[in-house]
Amino acid sequence: MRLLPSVGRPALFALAFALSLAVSPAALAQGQNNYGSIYSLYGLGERVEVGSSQSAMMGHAGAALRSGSYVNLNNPALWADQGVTTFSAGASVASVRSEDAATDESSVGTAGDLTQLHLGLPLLAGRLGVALAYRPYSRVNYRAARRDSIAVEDEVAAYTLNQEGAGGLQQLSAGLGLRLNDAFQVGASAEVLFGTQELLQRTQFDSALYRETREARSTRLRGITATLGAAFTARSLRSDGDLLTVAAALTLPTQLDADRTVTLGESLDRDTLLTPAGETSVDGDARLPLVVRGGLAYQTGGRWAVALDGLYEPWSSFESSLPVGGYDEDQSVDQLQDRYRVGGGVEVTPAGTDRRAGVVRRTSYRLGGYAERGLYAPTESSVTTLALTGGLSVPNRLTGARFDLGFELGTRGSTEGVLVRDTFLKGTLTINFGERWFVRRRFN
Amino acid sequence: MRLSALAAVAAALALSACQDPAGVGLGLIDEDQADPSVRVVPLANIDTLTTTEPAIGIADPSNPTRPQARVLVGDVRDAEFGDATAIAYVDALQPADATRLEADEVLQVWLQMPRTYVYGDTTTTLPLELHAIQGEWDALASYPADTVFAVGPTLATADLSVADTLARFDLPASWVRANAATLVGDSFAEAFEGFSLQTAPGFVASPGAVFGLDTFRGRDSQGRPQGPLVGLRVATAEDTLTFPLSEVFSSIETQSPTAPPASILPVRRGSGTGLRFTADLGQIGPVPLSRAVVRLPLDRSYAEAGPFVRPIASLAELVGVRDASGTPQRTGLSILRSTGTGELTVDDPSGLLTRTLQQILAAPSDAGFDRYEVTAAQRLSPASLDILPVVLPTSGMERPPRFVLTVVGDPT
Repeated sequence: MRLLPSVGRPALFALAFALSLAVSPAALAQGQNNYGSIYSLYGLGERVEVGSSQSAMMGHAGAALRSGSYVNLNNPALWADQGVTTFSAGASVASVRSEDAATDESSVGTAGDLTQLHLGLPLLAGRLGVALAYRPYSRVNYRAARRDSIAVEDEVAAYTLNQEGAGGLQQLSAGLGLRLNDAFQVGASAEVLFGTQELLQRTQFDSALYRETREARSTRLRGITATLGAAFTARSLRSDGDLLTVAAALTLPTQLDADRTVTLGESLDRDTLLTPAGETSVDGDARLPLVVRGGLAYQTGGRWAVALDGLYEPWSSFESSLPVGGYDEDQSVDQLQDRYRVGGGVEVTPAGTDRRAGVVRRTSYRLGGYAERGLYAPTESSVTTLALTGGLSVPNRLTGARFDLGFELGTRGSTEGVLVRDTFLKGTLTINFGERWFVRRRFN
Repeated sequence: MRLSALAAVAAALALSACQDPAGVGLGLIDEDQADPSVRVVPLANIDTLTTTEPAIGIADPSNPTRPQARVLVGDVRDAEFGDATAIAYVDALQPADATRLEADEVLQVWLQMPRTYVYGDTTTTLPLELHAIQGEWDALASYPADTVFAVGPTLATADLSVADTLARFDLPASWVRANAATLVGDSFAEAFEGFSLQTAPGFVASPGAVFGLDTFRGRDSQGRPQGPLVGLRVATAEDTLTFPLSEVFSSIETQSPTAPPASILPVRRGSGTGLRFTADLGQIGPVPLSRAVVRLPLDRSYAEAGPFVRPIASLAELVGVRDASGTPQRTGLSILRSTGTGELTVDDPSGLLTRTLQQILAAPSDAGFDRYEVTAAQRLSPASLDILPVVLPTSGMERPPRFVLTVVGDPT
């Protein structure tokens, strides 16, 4: 506790309480409408960063953040560090308050999500590790609504026009990380991308004489890509046991196969609209840009960790034969641009590697932040996100198990022109189990 | 520190509170094509059609297949909608306590039915005759609408005018004596086939009228019986029993109009005519359909011309017909109701018409219905000669017969 002189135990409990409230089932039941940012309409949805719960609390800076108990999904080279078999599952709930210059009102959307599932296995502890992971790649979860009315002969019919987006891409990963020597480690993973984007126009009339209409444009996408990672670590630079790691990962560009259907109605009562060629769907493809991320991390004996990351995704090279949000080849519409992100954070664990210390001292405290230029430029001006991240990682009596409570508070965009400013708060709860498996018994 | 904790809790609550999203961000969405619009599709090839449904049924409002609340009797000359002659046939049901009587206890028998409907000259007095039906008949059978059953000699007569709210036919004492045993016996259902009511042979309609008689007692809004008893009344010295009516049938013989109106279609219930038309919905394209309404303007001036009245049908049924397989396949689409604004239009909260047309619009390969028909289905309302004076479209007509479709956006 001497390392946190200005933060007393009551404050920690208050922070923990606030975070647990943000992800509590009660909050979900009360407020969830599964809507998020309007900006998720662009491209194939709002990109979701999932490295590890540790890196998420440190400004999503995890490309070089080595850990024996966390598997950082963004860089397979780090999977070689696994000392124990790990399993991690996380969920989040995010609230977004949006406002623009055109309306006096603001809207609030709340959406819950599964942040990740992964299983990591050390084939050779600290030298060779394998990981399987399931996580979101992108999310579409917006809604915009407008009230209006129409004259139907002698009647006036008031209605609400809803534009809604749902779905997104999932990412299934499997790969290996290998430590070549004390300094170098490399890794590779195969990524299967799949998912469905549904853009729905829903028109509700006030009068029960009018049916609610639903026209849904549903696009299924699937494809494969690969991620290559490398890390270099220098040891004992300033003190015994400290590490300075420089790492990078590259996810290759890929082409996703797509098919799109347009339906009217809902659930089982849907009518599929035929294409001009008489087909029930239109086939196409979308070309995802590469992802380059690099970073460095400095870690001292399990007590301090500092990480800094940069990310680049050239969405200006995105191509799609089917129109998507902000991109329509036939209409020469391209509002997508390169995405950049820089982030960094710090972690402190007062007890370091001392397992005999109390829970509060063995808890890791994390704080970070990031700045991101979004992959969209609706008015040819960039949309920037600034966010503060942080949280706690609380150990429990099970060896290697940690409960990570994280938050992300930030703003995105502005209210200039047609743009929207989002203020968002995201709470995450991740459970990380770590256990030694496959240990040969010495005695029977 | 407590303040900090409270602030954190308040922020979490404020951000997670349920609030309906407003129009924030609409400027980022291309929604030029998304607003609802109204498409009007004029009806074409409007003409009459011949219907064959007889005015037959059971005098029981709860009967699931053929409830029939009215029979028609009379004779009317109508150059614009066609002459009509109606004969009413009614059978009766023996009440359970009738079999406790002895035949010699029966003193008097009469048939009584409220008069609640008139088509034609309201100053007419109809000389009506009552006959016993000879031979079996069945209200669940399919007879031609103008079927006439064999009857015996005249048993009773009564003059009926609009001023009379109750038609009563007193059966003669000779008939009572001859049939008393049947009335109280166990073989009533087999031995008694009912009565016919028809105008006297010497009556010359000029222009005459057709009256409607109720076949069962009405009920008020609370479900309590109201109005006079309906049926065969059998009086003893101590009591009067009512034999409610059971099977009823109105045989209606009609003629084509000799001077049909030029501006309307002379559609009339009970006269074997309905309405048919076509509509080209292919021009709309595959769009979401929020509401479909058919609107048929009616010329209400035909409802009343001096003392001559023609009630306008309040209900009708819209049917879609496909001829593709050679045999017409009919699909019920909507109930139509005539409104105070002088139109016959959709009255169907279930939205069946909208849902059906949506399926047609969604499939460009589906040519839709070959035609539509409007008929006065018997199940909807009592037997009548109600008219549907549907105005024929003319060039420059502001609101011709039409489909009014409220769609959303443009075809995809």
